Amino acid sequence: MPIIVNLDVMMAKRKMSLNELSEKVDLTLSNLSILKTGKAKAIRFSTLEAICKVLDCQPGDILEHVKEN
Amino acid sequence: MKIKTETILTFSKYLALLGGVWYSILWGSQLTTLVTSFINPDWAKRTYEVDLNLLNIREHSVWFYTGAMCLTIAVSVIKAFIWYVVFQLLSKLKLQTPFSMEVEKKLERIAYLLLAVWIFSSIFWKTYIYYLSKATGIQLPANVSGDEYLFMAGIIYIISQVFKRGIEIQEENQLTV
Repeated sequence: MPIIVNLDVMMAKRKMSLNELSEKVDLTLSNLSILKTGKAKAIRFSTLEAICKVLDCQPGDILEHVKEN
Repeated sequence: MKIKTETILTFSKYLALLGGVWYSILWGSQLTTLVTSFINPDWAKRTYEVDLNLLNIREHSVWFYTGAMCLTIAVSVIKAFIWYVVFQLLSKLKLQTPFSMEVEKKLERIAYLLLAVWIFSSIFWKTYIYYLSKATGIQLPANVSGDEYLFMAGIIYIISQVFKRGIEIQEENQLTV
C-alpha cells in the first residue's frame, strides 16, 4: 500500500513503548500492533487524534504517502 | 411454537446428508444395472434402478446404451456430490459469524456443480437423444429438462459473490483501528 505508517518512528522519538501508548490512547495492543505493522485498512479520525495528542505530533508525522513503482 | 433458526439449520443439514446418501444409492444402483446388463441383460431388467427405455436401446446398440447410462450415472454422481457439499456447507455455517471464506468457497463450488448438472442433463442429454433418434429411430423421452439447474447455479453464484463482498467488508471492519 502506498500509505506508510511511521508510528514506530514517532514512538522511538518520544521514547514510548507500545504498552504505554496503548494505555494512553485507550486502544488494545492488538489494534495498535495492526496499525504499527501496516496491516490496518483504515484509521478512524478519533484514533488518529488520540495518537497525535499523546505523541505530540501531526498526522503527517505518522502517515506518509509513497509512490508505488 | 417458535422454531429456532438453529433447529432449522440442523434439520436442513441432516436432510442434505440424507439427499447425498439417496443419490449415492441411486448412482450405485444405476452402475449396478449397467454392469449386470453386460453380464446378463435379463437380470438387469429386475434391478432396482432400471430404465426399460434405455434397456430397449441396448437391443439396437450396446454402445448407445452405455453412453446413455454413463450420462445418467454422471448426473446422479454430481447430484450426490452437490448434496454432500451442501451438508459440509451447513456444517461449517455459524449463524453468529456467517461470512467466512469456507462458506463462500462451498457456495461457489455448489454453483459450478449445478452448472455441470445443467450441462450434462440438458445440453449433453438433449444432443444425445437427438443423435440417437437420427441414428436408430428410437424416441427417448426428454423428461429431464435440466434448465432449472442453470437458474439455480446463477442464483447461488450471485449469493456466493455477495458472501465474498461481505467477507471483504468484515475484514475491512476488523482491520479498522
